[in-house]
Amino acid sequence: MTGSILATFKQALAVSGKGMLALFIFMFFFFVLLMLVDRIFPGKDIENQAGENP
Amino acid sequence: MEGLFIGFTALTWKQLLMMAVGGALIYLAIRKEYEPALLLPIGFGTILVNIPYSAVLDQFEGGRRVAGALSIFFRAGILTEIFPLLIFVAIGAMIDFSPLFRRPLLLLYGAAAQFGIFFTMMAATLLGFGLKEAAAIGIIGSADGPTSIYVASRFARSLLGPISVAAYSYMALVPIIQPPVVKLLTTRGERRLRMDTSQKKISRTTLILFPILVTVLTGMFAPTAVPLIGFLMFGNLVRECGVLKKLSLAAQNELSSLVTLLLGITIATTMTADRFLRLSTLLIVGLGLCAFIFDTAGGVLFAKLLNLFLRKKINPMIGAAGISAFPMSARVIHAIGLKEDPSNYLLMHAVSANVSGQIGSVMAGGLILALVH
Repeated sequence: MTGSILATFKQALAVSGKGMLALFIFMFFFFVLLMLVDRIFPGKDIENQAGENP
Repeated sequence: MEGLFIGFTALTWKQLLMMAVGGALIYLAIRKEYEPALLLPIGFGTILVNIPYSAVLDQFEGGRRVAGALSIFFRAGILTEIFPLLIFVAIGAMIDFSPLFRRPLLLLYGAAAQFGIFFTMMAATLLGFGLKEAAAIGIIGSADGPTSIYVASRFARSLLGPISVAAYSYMALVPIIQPPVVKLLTTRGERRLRMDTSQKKISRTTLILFPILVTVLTGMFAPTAVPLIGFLMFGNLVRECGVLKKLSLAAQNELSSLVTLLLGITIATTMTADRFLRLSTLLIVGLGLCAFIFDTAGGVLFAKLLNLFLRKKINPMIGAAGISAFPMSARVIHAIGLKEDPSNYLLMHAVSANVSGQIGSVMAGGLILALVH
């Protein structure tokens, strides 16, 4: 019983490791993609006031 | 004459208790306004399916099966995954990605705040759940009802009821769950941290290309995630293309309302006494809370880690808004920030992280489907 729980836990651990890593990689890809598209088709900067809230 | 009283004579205490559970869900929906669009239909459906010999479920008469209306909806809408996918179209049409485009780095926060999914999945296996069941329970931490339902309908149909109820209940309880976790993991100085405001304009081309490119990129690496991310991004493309305003409004309003209504009452099909009144339901409720707590912790701790490398620091509370509960989580973080410093407006930053959480939660669901066999 405990052995099968441990075996399932190890599988879950492996899925979690791969899942979190893949998630970060995907989101990083999206980040790069967004920066690229924004650079190719730029919008216009209206304002950028450091430290000031609207 | 005896046939008239068959309901009374066949009623069990378990069915009566389930009707009380249904009543409690209706109370929470109406009185406390906890996710009323979902909890009210689920609550009423729970009453419907626990009436003895209720004809809303399949019944056997004279040796042949007579299909019940809710059972038909369940087979047609949940088992085929159509209802959750249609909800994704509606959600996609509601999401405005432009706050995220102004702060694209916050995309990573949408990944970090999914930590609770994986942590809970591991915890569930230690409590004796199988890998697929544990994955379906962990996905409660996506803080995203349709994703939870989609994954649960694939991996653990018998647990669909408790998983859905836990997911929607905790989404409604985000204002109670997140603040203590955020305060525990941050100092007052960190909570008062101010951030740059940017009102950079985003080109329409970027808004149109983003959903298409994200779908293609995701599909090339994780084809199992395509239904989830694809329907979400399709809805968003309808919104951003600018030539389908009527369809976009229909998706945001009529489609969303109708499918939510059907989804809620159909999920109740799994809320029968024999399926719901089990120890596993209590465990799922506990694990769901664990998922939301570790999502929040994962987001905050990642933000603190990233701040070690950033020149312009980001308020670590923003990390907690990387969950998918939109816009509830962003509002909660903004409110904590205002309590610490009444002139520090974090709302737009938190909204950006919250939007990235919507992408992150769907991606996490797709990855779980791809990785768990």
